[in-house]
Amino acid sequence: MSIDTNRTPQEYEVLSGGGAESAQMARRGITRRQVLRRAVTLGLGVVGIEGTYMALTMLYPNLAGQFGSVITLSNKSKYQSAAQKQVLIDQRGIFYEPSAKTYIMHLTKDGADFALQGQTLQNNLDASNWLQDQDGTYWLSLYQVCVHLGCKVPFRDDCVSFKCPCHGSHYNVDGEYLDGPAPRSLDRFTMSFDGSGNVQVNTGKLNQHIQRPDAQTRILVPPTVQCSA
Amino acid sequence: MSTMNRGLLDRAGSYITSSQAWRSIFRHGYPDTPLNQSLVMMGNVFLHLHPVKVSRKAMKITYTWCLGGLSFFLFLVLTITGVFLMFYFVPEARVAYNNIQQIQSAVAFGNLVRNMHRWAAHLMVVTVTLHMIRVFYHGAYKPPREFNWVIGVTLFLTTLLLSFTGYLLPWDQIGYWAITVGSNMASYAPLLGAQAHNTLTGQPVGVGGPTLIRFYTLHVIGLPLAGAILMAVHFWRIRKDGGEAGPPPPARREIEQARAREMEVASLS
Amino acid sequence: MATTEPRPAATQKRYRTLAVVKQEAITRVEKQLEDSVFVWPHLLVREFMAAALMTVVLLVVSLVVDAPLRAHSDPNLTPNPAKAPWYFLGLQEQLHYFPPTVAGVLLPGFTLVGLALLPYVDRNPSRAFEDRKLSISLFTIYAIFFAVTVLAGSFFRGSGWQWVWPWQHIYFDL
Repeated sequence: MSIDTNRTPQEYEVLSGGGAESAQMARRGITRRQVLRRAVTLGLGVVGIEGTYMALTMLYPNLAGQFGSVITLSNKSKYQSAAQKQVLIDQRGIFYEPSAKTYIMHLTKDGADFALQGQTLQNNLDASNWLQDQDGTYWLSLYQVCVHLGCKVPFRDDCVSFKCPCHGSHYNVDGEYLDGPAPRSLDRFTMSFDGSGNVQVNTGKLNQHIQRPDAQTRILVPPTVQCSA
Repeated sequence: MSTMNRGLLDRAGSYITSSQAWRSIFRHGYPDTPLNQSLVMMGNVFLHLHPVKVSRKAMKITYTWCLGGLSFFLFLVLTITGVFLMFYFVPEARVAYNNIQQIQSAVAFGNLVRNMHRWAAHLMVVTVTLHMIRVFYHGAYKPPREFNWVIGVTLFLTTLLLSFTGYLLPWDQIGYWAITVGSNMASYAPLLGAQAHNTLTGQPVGVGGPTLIRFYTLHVIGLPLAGAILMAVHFWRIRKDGGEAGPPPPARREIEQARAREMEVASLS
Repeated sequence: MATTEPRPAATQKRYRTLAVVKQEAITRVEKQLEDSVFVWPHLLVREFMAAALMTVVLLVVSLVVDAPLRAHSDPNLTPNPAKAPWYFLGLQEQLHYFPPTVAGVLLPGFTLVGLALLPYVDRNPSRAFEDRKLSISLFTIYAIFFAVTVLAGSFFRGSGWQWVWPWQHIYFDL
């Protein structure tokens, strides 16, 4: 980068870059200048891509421990199981967990009134994210949001079912569609237990494919009590 | 590189540069002819702060050491890294420290960006100071550049204040006590000492939550805005005052000696 | 007495400012060709290299050295010594010798105002080192005074602002 002041500016232009003469020399073929120019362009491109990657990664939210990741809830023993007909919100059978935006359903081994049986039942339980624990009780984690238009669906003890206050969509204890404008049954998360028996919900993995049940796919019988608005 | 690759690259290159989209952005060819070299400097908003041609003596690295340019470059680096830090930092006394810890541990590249911001800030204080010392020794503050020197002094002060306000934001023991010591100095000002201190800290009892939000606002918008405007004037005036001053001309004694020699030669002939 | 008719506006000459050419620029025709080169590529290459080098240095330093973060601030626990940012440590060192109003306000204030007024006080038109012995020596003395106090405050002061040699212990945070 030293400047040779013994040469005139014109000589300097030709010898160390720029100038019409050197441009003509460059056009004759691939020259040192061309290689250099391409290397600089390539280098800038790489730096640009890396910078963009860094910027986007830095801005992408880190979900560890928050909604959207695997959330560890309380121990299994907190969620007391119940028969389908005797469910009471946050006391037995159905529990609300705000941190995971989920309802945890826990039914006794014999308390679930299945409408199906045998292999058909097993296939439907698997497809609907049901989880049978070693003691035979049934677990399920439902997403709190109504699949109709996004209201939070409360569990109604008097109806023994979920009833949406916004437009009246009605779901069974296991989130199965009963009546109302909802297009499908409630969405559900993948559930599991960790080594010390704590309930874990993967809130990043949502099953949104449970269609309105028909005679071949309805798992639980509808509640018999009338549910007024 | 094989001949075929070269042909392909060249053809792709010329296809792009002759397209209408390209020519609507760059209205001249690659700057390797005197005309294009002039057009690029005059037509590009970022480049036009430079003149088309520059004196070879003033361009020497050993003359400027690029200190002013590097200060501006560091300002740009600080602006970009600062904006990214702003996405995660909340200027609230109860959470600020946790935010910094999260930026260091939980945010992708957060630690790197915070490090860059911190070191670039210290470096900028150094380059700005050295730039000012360099300008003094070259006498480049003399007419017609007097007022640009004054703007430079205010830019120096802005740099110090930017660094000083940023010091408090992590809300750790270093920043807290550095600002406590610094703001207590202001209270010794004659006449309006207490008022100066209270305005700075936002409360009479020392550094606290109100100080944090004050320093944050000054740090992220007030001072950078002032700095950017002053910089625009600074650069504009460099151009208007004829570019860099260049190395000092010969001293009076040398000029007189040269004149005496000339007279001698003239009288001999 | 002859009266001159004012000409109709349409035939009046109108002027547009295309450029204001300073006197010096006109006389420059007489001067010899200036020793200058094109900014693209000569100056821009230098600026680009300087910026690239600075980026690399900054990245490497940031990858290797972590920015300090001490314990959460505690208004009831003053670290000993409590130091200002390094560039204010010269003032803090001066506070050790002079009363607070002098070292904390008047000295820095005088320095800034003095610096700003410098071009108006120093009326010597020559830029040659040889012709500026007085201003250069004064500035150098002042700069050294500040540099020495900054270094002393940074590396030679410990608890209670006692003199501590750097090889004994360094109380310094960046």
